[in-house]
Order: sequence, then C-alpha cells, then structure tokens
Amino acid sequence: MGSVYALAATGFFLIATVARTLNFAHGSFVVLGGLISYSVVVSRGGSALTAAVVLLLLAPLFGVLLNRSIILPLSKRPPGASIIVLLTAGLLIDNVAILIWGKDPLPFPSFVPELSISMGTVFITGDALAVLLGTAVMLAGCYLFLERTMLGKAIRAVGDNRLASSLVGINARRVQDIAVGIAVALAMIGGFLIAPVNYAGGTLALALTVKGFTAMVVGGTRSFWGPVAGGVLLGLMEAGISRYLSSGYREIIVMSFLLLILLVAPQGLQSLWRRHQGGDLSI
Amino acid sequence: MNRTTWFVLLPVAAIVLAYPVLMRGEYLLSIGVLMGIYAICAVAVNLLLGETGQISLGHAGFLGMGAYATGILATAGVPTVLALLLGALLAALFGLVVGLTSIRLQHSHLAMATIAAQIIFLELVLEWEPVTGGVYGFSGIPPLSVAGSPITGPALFYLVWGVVGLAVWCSRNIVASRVGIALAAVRDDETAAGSVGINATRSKLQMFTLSALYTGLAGGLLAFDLGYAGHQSFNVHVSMVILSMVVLGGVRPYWAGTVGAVLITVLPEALRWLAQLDRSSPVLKAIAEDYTYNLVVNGILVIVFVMFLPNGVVGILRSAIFGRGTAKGRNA
Repeated sequence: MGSVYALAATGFFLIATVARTLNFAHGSFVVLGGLISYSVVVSRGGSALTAAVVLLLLAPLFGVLLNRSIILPLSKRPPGASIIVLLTAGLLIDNVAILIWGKDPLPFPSFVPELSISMGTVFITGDALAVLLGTAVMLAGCYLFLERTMLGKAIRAVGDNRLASSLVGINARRVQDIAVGIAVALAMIGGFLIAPVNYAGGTLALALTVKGFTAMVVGGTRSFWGPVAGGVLLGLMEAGISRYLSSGYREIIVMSFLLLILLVAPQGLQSLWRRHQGGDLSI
Repeated sequence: MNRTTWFVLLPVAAIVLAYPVLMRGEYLLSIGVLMGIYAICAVAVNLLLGETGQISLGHAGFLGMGAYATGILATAGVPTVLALLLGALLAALFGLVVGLTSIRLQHSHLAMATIAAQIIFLELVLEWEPVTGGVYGFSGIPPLSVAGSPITGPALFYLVWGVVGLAVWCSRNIVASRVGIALAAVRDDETAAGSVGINATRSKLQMFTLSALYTGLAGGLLAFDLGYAGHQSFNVHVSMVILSMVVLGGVRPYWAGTVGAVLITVLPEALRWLAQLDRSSPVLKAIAEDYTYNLVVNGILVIVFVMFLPNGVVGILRSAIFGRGTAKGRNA
C-alpha cells in the first residue's frame, strides 16, 4: 500500500508545484485506474501489459481535460472555487464509476500467482513484489524525466517560477498539461498495481486523496524523494497499526497523525530540523 | 428592516405557515422538516464560507456529533430539550477543536484537515459500537417533548423552521456587527486586517465554533425527527451536499444557502417525478431508484454553478429583479 501512497503523493506534488493547487480528485483517479484495468483484464480478457498501455494512453487525456477545463480556468479565481470544483469532480468520477462498475470491490486476478517467497516468518507474494517493482520503475522513470530531459526541466522551471519560465520561452500552459497528465498517470497506474492485492474499486477515493496528501506533507515538498519517503512511511505505519492494533483504528490514527503534522509542521517533518534553510517550496 | 426585506420575508413566512396545511401526508411533511434541517446547516456553512472564506468539509461530522450526542443523551433519560442543547454544545466543542487547525492552515490545507476530522469522527462512531450502535446505527430515540407533550408532525415542522428563522436572524446580526465587519476584512485581506488591529485568529475560531453549533442543533433535530442516527447520514458525501446547497443558493448573502437547501432537498423528488413521465423507460426508472444519479446531478450542478454562475440562484434573482446584483465575484 505504501507504494501506492508514494505514487499518489508524487502526483500530488507535481500538480501542487506546477499548478499551485491540491488535486482533490486524485484518489478518484487511483480508483478509476484499478477499475479500468479490471475492465481490460477481466471483462475483455486482456493481459496486464495491455491494461498498463490503455491506462498510459487514457491518463494524458484525463490530465489535459482536468487541466484545461478546471485547473486553468479557475486559477484566477479565489482558491475556494477550485477546491470545491476539484472535490466535486472527484466525487463525480466516483459516482459515475459506481454506476458503471457497481458499489462492491471487484476481485482482480493475480499478476504472478505462482510466485511467493518466504524469508523466515515473512511471506512476500509475487503481487507485492510486482507492486514494489512497478512503483520503483515508475518513480525512477519520472525522476529521470524530470532531471534529464528538457521537458522535465521545463516542468521544474514552471514550478519554481512561472513568470520567469515563460520569459525564457516555456509554454507554461502546455507544461502544466503534461505535469497534470503525468500525475494522473501515476495515480491510475498506482490503482492498477494495487488491484490484485486490494481488489478494484470499493474504496473511499477521498480517503486515498487525503492519504496521498498526508504522504506529501509528511515527506515535505523540498525534493522529489520527499513525498516518496512519506508514502513509504505512511504505508509502513498503516501495516504496523493493522498488525498490532485493530485495522479499524488505522484510519483514526493516520488521520489524527495528519492533523498533528499539519498543526506542528505544515512544511513536512524534515522542516523540523531544517527550519533555517531557505528555498521554501510552499504551496 | 427596509421594504425589500419585508417584501421577501412575508411571502416566505406565509409559505412556511401554510406548508403543513397544504401539503398533507407524512411524506411531504417529512421532506419539509428535512428541508428546514438542511437549511440550518446551509446557513452555518454560509456563515463560514461567505463571511470568513473558509471551506469546511467536516460539517456532516458536526451534524453527526449533534445527532448522536442528542440521541444518546435523550435515550439515556436526559430531558429531550436539554439533550438537544447539550448535543449542539458538544458539536460546537468539536467544531472548536477542528477550528484550531484553521489558525495555521488556509484554503486547501484546511479543507484537507476538515476531511480528516470528518473521517476520524465517522470511524470513531463505527468503532465505539456499545455506545453508538456501530454500523447498525443508533435507534429508538424518543421524540422531542416539551412539558410532557411530544413534538411531532406539523409542530416539529414549525419548530425546525423557527430555528431556521432564528439562525438567519442571528447570522444577520453577526454580519452587521463589529465582528462581521472584522471578518469581512479578514476574508478580503488577512494581512491588512491584522495591521488595523483585528484579531483574525479569534474571529475565525469564533465563526468555526458558531457554525458547528448551528449544525449540531440541526443534527439534534434530525435525530428527533428520524428517531435514529446512522453513520451513512453523516459521511463526506453529506458534507459535499451541504456545501452544494450553499454553492447553488449563493455564498452570500448570509441566508442564500436556505434557498439552495430547499432546491437540493427537492432534487431527488424532482428526479423521481421526471422518471414517472415515462414509466416504460428502464433508464428513467434507474434514475428514480438509485441515489447515485442524484449525487451525479448534484455534482454537475455544483461545477456549473461555481464555474459559470458564481453568485448562485439568489444572486441571479437579485440582478434580475433589481438590475444590480452582487457585481463583485464571490470570494470563496
């Protein structure tokens, strides 16, 4: 689960830095990713690879649609407007998904059913490995893209200073399209990867949104790996709570943890010991 | 009160008084009661969103706090009126705690914090089964009674709408008071307001608490109305529905949400009516029976209103009647 949070948090972080807004519909894209891949793999009998390709084709479409129809037109308005519309858009996606796929979680076939490794008392299923591997590949690819390519550099430039980047000839709108597209792709692939472990659909997408946000806040927004670390930490924390306490208290503890962090260190945990450094990437 | 106010107020009062007489039958009356309860919530959100510019998605939590606290206390033998007031106070306390986050957080971070608070509340209700009834809900709440006589049916309807009137009247006084003007200043520019000596933190916290108090009172009334409190009535979707009432009615003036509350409460009935036009169509039948369609229509309405009609129904009517309207865009 931590990997999904890491993917979601990274997407959150991308949109937050480039578009200066929190994507309240993010969790809905995670759920949607799982459901679409369910349709491809189970209903149509496609392979997992086909599902991934379909998602990667659809994600930029959703991203551009989200950016052009909601984020950009509302960027000039008071922040409340985009918050309300993004939240509503998320709930709209959830409800349309319920109409298409139904309310109940759908069982998803395992990617690699025969594989499972045991190390002493710890069992690792093939699916869990696939999730970890897939996440690592996605994140590494995303990191290299942002660091090494011109387009990636343009995304970071727009995030740093929108006006200055448009002065040197960067098309900020298009760059924002791409950034939102990548973020949506990360979310949807996350939903796809976790589907065999957690079933497709049936979860509260808004809770996922809040957790992606939690992971971002915990990790801090100073570097690419901050949200990733936050996601992994959150996943480990949830696993620990489920194992040693009851899973019912998991949400309560995680949400209380978020409130605490927001009150004590809204810039991320690392800001507690790095408070005096400059270059703050506030949202 | 000027002439325009009376011009609006008198017909509304007449409609409210006549409603139980004209709309016979339990079902229509219960819808009327529900409209009133949501109107209280909408006024509460109006106060917070319109006057302080803060977005809360925790209002269904406050509603639930009021409902559960009132229901549990009343069932335990506490006099029902006292239970109602205690429930509202507990909700206000909850609002105060959630409002504390608003000291350091703004806009989207605050919205996230209120969603988190809402989820915590709901999970606690589910986990604390011996007291709250868990997933099955808390049932067997006695009706509200004053001096031994139960208040149900039309009496409850009048009481609920009386509370709506009271809430609107209180809001009016607050908006016109020093506190209200200070809040408007904070909303428009917090730094500038601070520089002229306005304590933004305190005013915002006060509004958060007051808003939760209104909503808790509505929750208590809901518990008495239904005789039951179930977790599904207080989830994030309900928070969104309450917010959508305010968006539809208008973020300002302070009473515009009541109009939205009436419209949104009627929406499922309107869809059902629409479905009866052609009974043979399976699509329309599904629309009438599945609440999900209602949420979809609701969502589309919210997006359309925020993007294209930011002054809400009240703003549109105002500019249509008076030719002026709130020219300044909404400040939510």
